[in-house]
Amino acid sequence: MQLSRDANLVGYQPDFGAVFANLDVILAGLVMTFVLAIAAMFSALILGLILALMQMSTWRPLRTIGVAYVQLFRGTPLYIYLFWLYYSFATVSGIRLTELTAGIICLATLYGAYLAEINRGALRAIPSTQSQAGLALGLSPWQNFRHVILPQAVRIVIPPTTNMFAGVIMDTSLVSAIGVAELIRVTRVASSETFRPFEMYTAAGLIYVVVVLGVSGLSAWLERRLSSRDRVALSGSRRLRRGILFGGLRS
Amino acid sequence: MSLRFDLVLESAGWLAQGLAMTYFVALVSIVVGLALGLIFATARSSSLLILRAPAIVYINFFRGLPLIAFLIWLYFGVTVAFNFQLSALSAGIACLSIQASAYLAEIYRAGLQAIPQAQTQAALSLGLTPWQAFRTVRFPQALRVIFPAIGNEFIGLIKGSALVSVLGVFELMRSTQQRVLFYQLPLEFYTTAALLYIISGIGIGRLFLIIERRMQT
Repeated sequence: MQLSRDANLVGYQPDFGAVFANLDVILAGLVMTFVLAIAAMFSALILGLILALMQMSTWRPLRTIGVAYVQLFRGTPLYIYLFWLYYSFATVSGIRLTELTAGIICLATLYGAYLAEINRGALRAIPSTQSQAGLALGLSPWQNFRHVILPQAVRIVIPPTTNMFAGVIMDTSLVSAIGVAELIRVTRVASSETFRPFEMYTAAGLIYVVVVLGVSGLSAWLERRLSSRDRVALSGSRRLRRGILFGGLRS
Repeated sequence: MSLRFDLVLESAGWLAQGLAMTYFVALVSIVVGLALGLIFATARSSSLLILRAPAIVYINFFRGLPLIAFLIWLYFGVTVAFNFQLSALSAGIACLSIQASAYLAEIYRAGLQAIPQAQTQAALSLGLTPWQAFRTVRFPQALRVIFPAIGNEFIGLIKGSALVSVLGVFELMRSTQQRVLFYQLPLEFYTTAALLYIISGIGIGRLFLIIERRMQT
């Protein structure tokens, strides 16, 4: 900081050339970010559906496990969970997880809990008359779930799930802490090599904002499209619920 | 393998100090975030494009920027470029409050939208000025609607404050990490810290629920 006081006399000359010189490194980091986000999201989708069905099960032990899992993981900060899993897992089981595996497991198990809540809400939102009508038409319970309930629930679930994907992309940035070479990690390395932290971090931040806004824009578009078919207006309370969801999930 | 939770207990002072800092950071950030958020929510709902446009950019930008990217950008990047010094604590609080204000602005807006227009019209026809109508009629009702969401945001800030440890603020995560390095007991210390976060979250959730019930009666 002593140095920068002298530098003030000449003024800081930003040089974004350093960013372009390291473009290949930054892109490799971005690819890793996407690998993490997509692998985690894919696993979380499956886990989220299983957990939602568990929570709605009529068999008590299954329901209790489902509810307890979701409550526990919704309260855990991702950052500490990452460190906990990465450093303690080997102590307990003797298996050493790679950074990438640990990162994907953490994101997937955490977002599985968030997605379970969305799925549960959607399954609840289907009127029970739909299920009764299906059964009255002679469908088996599985056929009824598969052909009547699920297609309707999927339509409700798609926009908030897409929004969750934006959250996953943002949260992959935390995985840098255990050493995965994703966007944040590579920009940190590059900025200490080029001595251009301002330019590097500005570039990284802008990349995140563009990607995340793109995905959440897609979510908003899907919501408009899917709801206009149902002629359901995007009411204030609905938007509020989305705000709660999004606010509740940070890190 | 024997678990040494007795050593965790011995470090209770450290962890308590860290936890106190975590609460402090989250509390200051929610207060600043609530104030800033209201300003941006009002600007976002303005009919003047010159107010609305910057608010839209601000809200969307900070909702799309991961906290960790924001923290290192401000603390390690901006301070170099614009040559000023910022303590780790103030940088952390600044980032958390700015991000919270972006989320809270959307929450305020949704809450204000949920109040029927007729409420304002009735207030105005009773002779209240627009400001009085907002302050005494619309805002208190909106506040009641968004109260649970504010609680959620506060829990989010408690969790988010763990990231401030990256800058070196001695909060719960940082104090835990130092103990982990000292004793080489990751399982015991990280489990304890995670439980402290979870319990804090549940406790705050309960507290907000109690206040919410009080407000309704």
